[in-house]
Amino acid sequence: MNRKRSSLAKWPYIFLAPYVIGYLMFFIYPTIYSFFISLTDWDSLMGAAARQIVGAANYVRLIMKDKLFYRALGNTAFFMVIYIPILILGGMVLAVMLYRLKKTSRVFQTINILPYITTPVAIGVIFSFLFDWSTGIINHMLIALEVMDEGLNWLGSPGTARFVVILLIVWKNMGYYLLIYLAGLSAIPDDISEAAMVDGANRFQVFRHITVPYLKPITIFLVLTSIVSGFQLFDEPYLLFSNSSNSVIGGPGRSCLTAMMYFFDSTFKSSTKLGYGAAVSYGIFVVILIVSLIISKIVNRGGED
Amino acid sequence: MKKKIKNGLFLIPLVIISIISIIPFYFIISMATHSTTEIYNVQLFTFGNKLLENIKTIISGGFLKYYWNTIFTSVLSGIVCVLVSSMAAYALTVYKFKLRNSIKTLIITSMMIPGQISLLGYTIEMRSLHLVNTHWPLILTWVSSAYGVFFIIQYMRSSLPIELVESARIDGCGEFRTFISVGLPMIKAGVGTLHRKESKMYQKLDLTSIGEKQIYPLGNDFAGRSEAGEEISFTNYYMMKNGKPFFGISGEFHYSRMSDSRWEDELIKMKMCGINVVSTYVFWIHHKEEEGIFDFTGRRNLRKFIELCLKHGLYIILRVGPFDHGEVRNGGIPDWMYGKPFEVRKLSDGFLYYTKRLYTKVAQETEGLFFKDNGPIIGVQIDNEYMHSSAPWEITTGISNEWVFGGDEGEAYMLQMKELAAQCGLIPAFYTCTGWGGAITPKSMIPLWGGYAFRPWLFYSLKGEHPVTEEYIYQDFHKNGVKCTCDFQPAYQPEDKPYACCEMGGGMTCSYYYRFQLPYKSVDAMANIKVASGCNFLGYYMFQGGSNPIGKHGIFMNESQVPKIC
Repeated sequence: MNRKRSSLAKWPYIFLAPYVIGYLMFFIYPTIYSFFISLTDWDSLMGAAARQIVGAANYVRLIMKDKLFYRALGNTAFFMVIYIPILILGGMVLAVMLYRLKKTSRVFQTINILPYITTPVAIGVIFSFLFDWSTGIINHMLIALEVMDEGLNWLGSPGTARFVVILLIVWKNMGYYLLIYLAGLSAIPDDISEAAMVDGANRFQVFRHITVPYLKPITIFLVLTSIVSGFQLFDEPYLLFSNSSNSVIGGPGRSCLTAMMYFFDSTFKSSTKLGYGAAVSYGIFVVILIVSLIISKIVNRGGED
Repeated sequence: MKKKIKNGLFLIPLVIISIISIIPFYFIISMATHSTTEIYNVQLFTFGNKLLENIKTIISGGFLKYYWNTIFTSVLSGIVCVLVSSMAAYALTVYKFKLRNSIKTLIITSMMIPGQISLLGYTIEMRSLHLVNTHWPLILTWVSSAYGVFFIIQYMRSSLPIELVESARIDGCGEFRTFISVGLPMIKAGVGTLHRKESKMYQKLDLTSIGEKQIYPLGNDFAGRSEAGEEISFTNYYMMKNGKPFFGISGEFHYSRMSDSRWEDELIKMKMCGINVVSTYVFWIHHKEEEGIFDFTGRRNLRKFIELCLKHGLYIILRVGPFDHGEVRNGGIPDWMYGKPFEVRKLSDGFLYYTKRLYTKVAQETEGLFFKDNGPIIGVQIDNEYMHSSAPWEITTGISNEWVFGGDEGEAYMLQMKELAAQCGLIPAFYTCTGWGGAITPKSMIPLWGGYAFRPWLFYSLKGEHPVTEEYIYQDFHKNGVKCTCDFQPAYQPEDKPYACCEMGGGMTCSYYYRFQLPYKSVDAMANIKVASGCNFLGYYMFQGGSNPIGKHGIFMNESQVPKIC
């Protein structure tokens, strides 16, 4: 018996070995190595020999001097502040509407989830076509409907470019929020809202006092995950402005430069300072960490009430 | 009854939102059936008949290869990820051992760390393992997927009964066999959903290994001999004159933008600056403003200009269009070409007819002045930035804002235009074309490159920050597989052709919203950078200033958005 157990003891390690080796090699090592790089001055064109350790200098520059970094964070936060409430509210209201239509609900679900499962590359390209200044359908339709006399340069000025980015995110993600809320709705027992209706509550009151509180855990989950993924916003705005010959990243006047785009740009594209790029990525990480901590604090306090 | 109506009211917003969700997909599908021109003319509400043609184009563009890359990496990374993660998850679910809880905690914690943190370290790691530009970086990252292990643990908890594992052991199955025959099948349903595609950013940035150059002549397409016995030719690295390396320094001088009385002075000055090749556009619209009437007099006297170059020993590269851009009205296409029943810059009998008239006339004007006839014209450029750039049709500006067609026929167009030029008598030592921005560069032409210190062609509504230019970074433009930091993406192997320039723009004229302050150093610096980066045929654009002539009917020959000086 004793021998049997000892012969079993090595097996979990054998099974774990490939993963743990991979994990150490391709996750832990690069993560720590990135941090080490962030303490150096290293131009990727120069090779490792030209690397110099500069301590916290990159972080000092990032925090004290880099206006663009704050701008990128600000843009990202701006997008989130606008689109997360729209998605939460829109997803919830749509889900409640859809939930009532038992039969046709499947069709609507499928249609609305299409944008979410489409690859971001295609979406960026479609939107840049739709909102093109001279050849875009949106301008042609608005002119045909006599809303405007001449086309708006949607992607050419900061305000409208931001509008298009937000529209794109809302359009892409609404189906996901809808689906999650639908799942949540099916967990609410029917008898509670029926009882409320019998007591004379109207539809809105049922929504406000029964549905919304019941969906709260789901809302919290969605808000938290949206914030973490929101800071990683990259593909869609990047592709939206990438088909012009414009090689500056982040749309007109950098109005749509997100934190991750800035990281990518400063590391691989318009500059090749690996050290500084790594510092940017750690900077973003710290911001995400702080924001998640604050949000979960707030959420937890709300839960105790 | 009332209830039904209320349900119906709910339906309306749902239907509207669903239409919004689905309509872009309709446009994608309809786009796939149209040609580029039709898309630009916004004929997207109906379907076109170009689907097969479009499919052919993407397949010939290497789409199948890209698709294969995607399939290969996603299938392989799927298998690797599922296998490695399920083994780890199996170990963490089925066995009890000392480190179990700490490993689990570690995995869950690392799910919170955004992947971008490790991205940079990962890229460098892959570079030092020499795996960059292979499929491996895309696959190996899945070996360490914390999400995968977490997901499978969750799934195993609910669907893998531990009794089954134990009974398999009792029946004499080894541990590994138990995993394969009991563990894996039970989680089969779960692993299918695990594997998702994820885009990551891996770039090759490697300038370390520079090998020896293989230098060989490029052959008859790139060579010419004059009656006097002189010879111009090219190797894959540089230009040659009479078999010896020749360093071309070309300066752009648009003769029709300057009074002919000043030409000779200016050419002498250029010669004194070290220029040995004069490059110029022949603007169609300057020579044929009205349909049917050519004008080669005064400042439009091309023959006189070329003869002056001959007199002062300057070679010439003629950029004959039909499309030039050149910051001129319609990019050089005459106004009367607008509205003809065919597309410009597209092969059709109509367009070929008018282009043939232009080429024939230019050939008449330049007769006997080509290199083969002891003349100075060594090169002819076909079109300009074909399938890369275009220009507004100025007569539609403010009305329908149409643009001159950018081209979509690839090499077929360029080669036919070259053929046509040769038929008409434009026979230089070599033909050129522009290479940047993804323009078409057929094998039988010298691709010419450039670079600008500023980017005035960006339409910004805000006069804000201007993008950083990468033109001032030393790189290697003559090395296969090199990843440059600027817009250098040749469609050919860089070592197969020389890296030659025709548009090094150290500065730029005032245009659109921009009034540049030009530091003179930026011109010098660019030449230095180009030479050091493997260029041995410089091309300054512009070397000579000038202003567009006013047209015969008071029309400015400028692009409408640039300042008008006359």
